[in-house]
Amino acid sequence: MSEHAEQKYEEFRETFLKIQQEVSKQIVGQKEIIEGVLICLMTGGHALLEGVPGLGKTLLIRTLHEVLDLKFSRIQFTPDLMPADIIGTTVVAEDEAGRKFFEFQQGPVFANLILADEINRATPKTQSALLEAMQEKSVTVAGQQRKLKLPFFVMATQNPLEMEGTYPLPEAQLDRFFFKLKVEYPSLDELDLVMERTTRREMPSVDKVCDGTQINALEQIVRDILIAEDVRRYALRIVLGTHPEAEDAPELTKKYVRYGSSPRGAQALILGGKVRAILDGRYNVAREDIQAIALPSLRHRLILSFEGEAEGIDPDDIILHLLEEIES
Amino acid sequence: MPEKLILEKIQRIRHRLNIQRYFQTFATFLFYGFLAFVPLVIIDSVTSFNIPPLMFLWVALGIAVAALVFRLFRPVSLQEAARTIDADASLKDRVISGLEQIQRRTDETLTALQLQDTTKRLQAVPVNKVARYSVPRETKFIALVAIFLVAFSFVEFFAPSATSTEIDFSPQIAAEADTLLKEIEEAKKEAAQDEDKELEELLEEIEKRALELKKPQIAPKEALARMTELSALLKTKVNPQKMAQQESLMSGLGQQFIGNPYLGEFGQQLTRGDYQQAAAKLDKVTEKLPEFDKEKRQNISDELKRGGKSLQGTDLDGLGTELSGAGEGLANDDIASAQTRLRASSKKMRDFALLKKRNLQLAKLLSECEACKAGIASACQGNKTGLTYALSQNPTNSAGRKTSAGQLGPEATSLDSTLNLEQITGVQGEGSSTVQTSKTSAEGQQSAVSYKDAYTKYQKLSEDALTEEQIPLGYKFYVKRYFESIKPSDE
Repeated sequence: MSEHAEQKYEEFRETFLKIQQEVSKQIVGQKEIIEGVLICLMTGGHALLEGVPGLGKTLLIRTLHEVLDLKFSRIQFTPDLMPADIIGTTVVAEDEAGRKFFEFQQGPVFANLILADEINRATPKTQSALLEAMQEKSVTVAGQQRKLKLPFFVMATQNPLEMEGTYPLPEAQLDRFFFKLKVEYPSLDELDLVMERTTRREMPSVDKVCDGTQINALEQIVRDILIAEDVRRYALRIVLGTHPEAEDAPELTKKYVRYGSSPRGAQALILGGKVRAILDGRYNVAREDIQAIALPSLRHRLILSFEGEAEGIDPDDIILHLLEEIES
Repeated sequence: MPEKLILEKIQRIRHRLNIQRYFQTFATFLFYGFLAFVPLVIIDSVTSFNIPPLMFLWVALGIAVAALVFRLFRPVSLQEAARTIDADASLKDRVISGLEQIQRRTDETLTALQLQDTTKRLQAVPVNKVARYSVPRETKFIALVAIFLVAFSFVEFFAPSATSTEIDFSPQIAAEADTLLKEIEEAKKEAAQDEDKELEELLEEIEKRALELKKPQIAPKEALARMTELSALLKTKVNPQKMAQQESLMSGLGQQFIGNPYLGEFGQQLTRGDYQQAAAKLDKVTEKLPEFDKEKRQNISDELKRGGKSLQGTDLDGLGTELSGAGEGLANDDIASAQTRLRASSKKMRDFALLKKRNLQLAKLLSECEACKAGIASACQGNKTGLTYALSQNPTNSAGRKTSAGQLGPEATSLDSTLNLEQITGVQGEGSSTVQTSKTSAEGQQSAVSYKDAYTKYQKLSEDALTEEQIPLGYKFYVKRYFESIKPSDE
C-alpha cells in the first residue's frame, strides 16, 4: 500500500519536472513562473500573469497546450468583447427537414486550457463572464447549466494597471485566481538566449508528456499530503495578518491595507505548499513551502487603502514584512 | 517502531534543551538582576546612603533562583522540542508533522510513509547538533557588571568624604575615646554590683559606640558626629529635671516624718536623700509594728496617711498610695496589711535609689561625653594650626637675605632665640576686686518649653536648611541621622 503511494508521488514529481523541462525548451528562464503555473494546474486553480507585453506569457500557455495534449483556446480580451463571445450563445439552426430549432454554440471557454489574453482590456461585465466557469467549472446559458471538461485551467494575462485602456479586475474575479505571477523582464543572458531561439528558421519542438486524465489523477493525490496543525496555523496566521482589523496585524497592514485576503488565500497557501512538498520529496508541508508561495498566493488578494494607493505601496512589501513579523 | 524511535529522539533532545534553558534562564536573570542594581549602587556611591556591600549579589541571585524555579515548572514541551529539531537540523517540519501523526494515531495513507521518512532523517541528526550545550552569552557581561558593582559598592567615588585622611587625627580621638571608655567601665562595674540589668545593657550599647571612635584613620568630622549621636542617646536616657522634682518630693515627705518619734529616722534619711537607708529604717519600723500599742500605731497611721496624701497626684503617686494604704491598715488594726504595704513602699524607695544612681551615672557619662567631644574638637583645631606653621619650615635658600637690584646679600643672620615659659603664681592682695555672679535657672526646675516642641521646631529648621541651602549630599545624611537619633519617643 505504502509502496504504491510512494510510487504515485514519484510519478507526480517526474511528470511535473518533465512538463517543466519541456516548457523550458521554448520559454527561456522564468522558472518560477513556469513552476507557479504548473502548481495552479496541479491543484485545479487558475493563474493570473502580469507583465508588460512581449515577455512570453502567451507562448507559455501555448507551449503548455502542446506539452499536455489538451484542448486549447485563446480569448483576446478587447473593450468590445461581450460575455456571449466567451461563454457561447444559442443560435437558430435548421435541420435536414427544414425545421428550425435553437442550438447552443459553445464559446471558447469550452476547452481545457484557456488563455484569457490581456483580460484587463475588457469591461468588468465581460471579465465577470469567467467567474462561474472558473469557480464552478460550469457555465449557465439560457437557464441551462453546462459542465466544462476537466482539467479546466484559465491562464489570464494582464498588462500592468498603469497602462492606458485597462479596467482593473473586480475583487471577486481576482480572488478566483489561485496565483498571481509577476513576469519580470529577462536578464541579458536570458534575452540573448531568447533572441537566439526566436530568430532562427526553426523553433525548438516539444514532446507531449501527459494528457487530461493523468492531470486529473495527479490533482487528486496532491490533497493527501499531510500538514501539521502547527504549520497550518502558521499559514492561517499569515492570512489573518493581512487583515487590518486583526489584533496581531503588523503596523504596515493596519496602515496600508483596506481588506485582507479571503479564505481562498489560505487554501492557495496550503494546496500550493502541498505541491511543493511533493516536489521536494516530502509527505508533509513545511513552513518554508508556505513562505515560498506567500507572494503569488496573496498579492492579488490584498486591497490597499487610499493611503497605500497614494503612497504607491506594493502588496509584495506588505506580505514580505508580514513574513518577517510572524514567528515561524 | 518508527513512532518509538521518533519519540525517543525527541525526548532526548527535549532533555538537553531543558538543561540548556535552565542555564540560560539563570544567567539571563542574574545579569538583569545585576544590571538593575547599577544605578542604585552608583547613587549609593555618590550619596553615602550605605547600601550594604554585596547586597546586590544576594538580591540578583535570589531573582535568578526564582526564575530558575519557575522554569523548572515549565519545561520544554514535545512540540517545542520537535520544532527546534526541525529548525536546527533543517528537517522542514518533518518532525513536528511526524509527532502530530503519532499523537493523533491516524491511519492516513501517507502517515506510514511520512513517519518512515522522518525516522530516516532524524536518525542522521546527531543530538548535540540540535541541542548543543553552550555558555549563555550573558556570562561575560555578568562578570563585567559584577566587577563594576563591587568597585562601586566598596568605594565612595564622588561623595564628600566623611573620612577624609588628609591629616590623621585618630590617635587624639582614640585617646579621648579611652577616657570615655574608662568611665563606662567603672559605670559597668557599679551596675553589675547593683544588678541593674537595664543599665548594663545601655552601657554595653554606649561602649560599642565609643569603641567605633577607635577605628583607624577615623576623620574628626565622623568622630564628632558619632559623639554627638552618643550624647543625644544619653540625653534621651537622663532626665535631671524629673529626678530633681521627685527628690524634692521625697525630701518634703521626709520633713513631715522628722518630728515623729517612730518615723523620725526614716524621715531624716529621706531628707538626706539616702533612699537605701530610708528603706532600711522603714523596714525596721515595719517589723516592730506588732509590738506597738494601739495609740502608737494610731500615731504612725496618721503620719503615714498624711505623708501619702502629700504625694497624691505627683510622680510618686504610687508610693503615696502604698503609704496611705499602710496608714489605713494600721487605723483598722490590720497590721499584716499595713506591713505588706510598708514593705512595698520600701521596695519603691530602693528602686528609686537605683534610678537616682543610674541617672547620676548617666549624667556623669554625658558630661564625660561632652568633654570628650570638646577634646576632639580642640585636638583637631590645634593640629590645624601646626600644619600652617609646618608650611614655613621649608624656606628657600634666599630666605632672610637682603635683595637689592637682583643681587643677593650676605648670608642671613641667624637669630637664635629661646622661649621660656614660666608660670607666675601670686597671692591676692588687699586691693578691690570685681565679682560678677550670674544667675541661671535652678537645675531642678522644669523647662518652659517641652522637649517635643523644641525638637519639632529645630527639626523643621534643619529640614528647611537641607532643602533650601547648598549642602553636600554626604553631610545631609549626618544631619538627618542626628535628628533621627534625638527624636522624642511617642510616650
